[in-house]
Amino acid sequence: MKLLDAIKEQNYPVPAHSMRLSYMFGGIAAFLLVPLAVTGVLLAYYGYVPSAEQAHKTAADATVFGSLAGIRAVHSLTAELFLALIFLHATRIVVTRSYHGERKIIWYTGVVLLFVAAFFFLTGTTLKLDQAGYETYAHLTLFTSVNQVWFRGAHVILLPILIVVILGVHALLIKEKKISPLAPGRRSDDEPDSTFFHHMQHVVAYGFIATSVAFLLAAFYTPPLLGAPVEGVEWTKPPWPFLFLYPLNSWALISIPLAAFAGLVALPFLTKPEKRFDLSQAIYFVVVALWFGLSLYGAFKHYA
Amino acid sequence: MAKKLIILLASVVLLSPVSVLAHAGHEHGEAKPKLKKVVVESAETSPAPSQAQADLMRENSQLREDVEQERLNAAKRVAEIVTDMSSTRSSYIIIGLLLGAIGLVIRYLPGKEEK
Repeated sequence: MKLLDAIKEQNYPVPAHSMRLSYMFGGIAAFLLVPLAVTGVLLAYYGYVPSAEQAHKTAADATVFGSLAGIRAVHSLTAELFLALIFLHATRIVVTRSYHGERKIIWYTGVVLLFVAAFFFLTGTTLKLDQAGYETYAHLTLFTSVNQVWFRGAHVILLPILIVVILGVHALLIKEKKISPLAPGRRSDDEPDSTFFHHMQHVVAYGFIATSVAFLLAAFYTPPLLGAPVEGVEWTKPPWPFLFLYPLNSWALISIPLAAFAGLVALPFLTKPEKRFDLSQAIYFVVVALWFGLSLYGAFKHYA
Repeated sequence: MAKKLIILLASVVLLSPVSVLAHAGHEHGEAKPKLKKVVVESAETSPAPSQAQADLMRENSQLREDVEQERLNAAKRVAEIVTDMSSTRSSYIIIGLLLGAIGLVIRYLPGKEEK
């Protein structure tokens, strides 16, 4: 009974605006960790052998034969959806400027989550060890001396644990400081309250729908797997979230993430909730525009 | 305003041609490997190399160029491994539709706890 009471206690009131889809992007992204974990475990258990000699062959086998091809596609597409939702979640936070005041700490845990998720994604692309995976690995090790085994260990053990722990802290902080308010100037105290369980009901529903989208896409589209890598040459492009790096030089791999991290940390200090549109939002949208422009340029730039 | 911005960004991310074009090794254009400069090491420096040394240098240089060319050709030959999903496609469509249906049912279940 104590457990039941403890669960009931979690059903605290939340504002009605938390039922809007834009206030659920983060929750849906968190839900997608479930299909990511399930498909990842299936791939590891039934097909993929993470050794330097076997990695590419087993990834290729998984791609060509049987239902593992679809599982790999679902895993990959869900990962892309996961990153896209995190980006949309961050954008909603910036639009409503939910990082001001004592909510800064939630934003900071979210920024760390964003970087862990991006690194998680990148290490995943190295696992298949095809030409694209090899090139990602080569770029990631430009400034470090870690080997491929480290990346595999990170993707399979370290980063999943890290992301769950940080996500737990992020969620606890949200519970303590409440779900983000509406944008400044749009607060409405007369809105009827909803409850946390009702909010979560919708998050889980949209999470299922997002997973179904990944399955339906996987039925018709398989993420590419190239042949075994040829060392010393570079001719593939990064996956879309990192395509903006393609037109830039190797130092961008260090300087851009550092600058992005510094910028995201600085946003709560630049916000002025009393204004309709403030400097923090301007900086964020300029950076997003740059990211989009460079990505577009990278997509159409001829292999150099 | 905020809603419009979010809808715009969501559309940009989800409908962007980048998401299709940006996958590694995609098809447009001929893959042109980044060329590495072939550095031909100079042979032993002596004021007047013998004919044998000169031949060796030439042979060395030719060999290096051949190896580099072979490597670039190999890179171009790396083909995409094509998946045959015909046997399992229907399973994924059914699972996808089932998950979507579960999502819709959960979404439209009455929120009993709502005040």
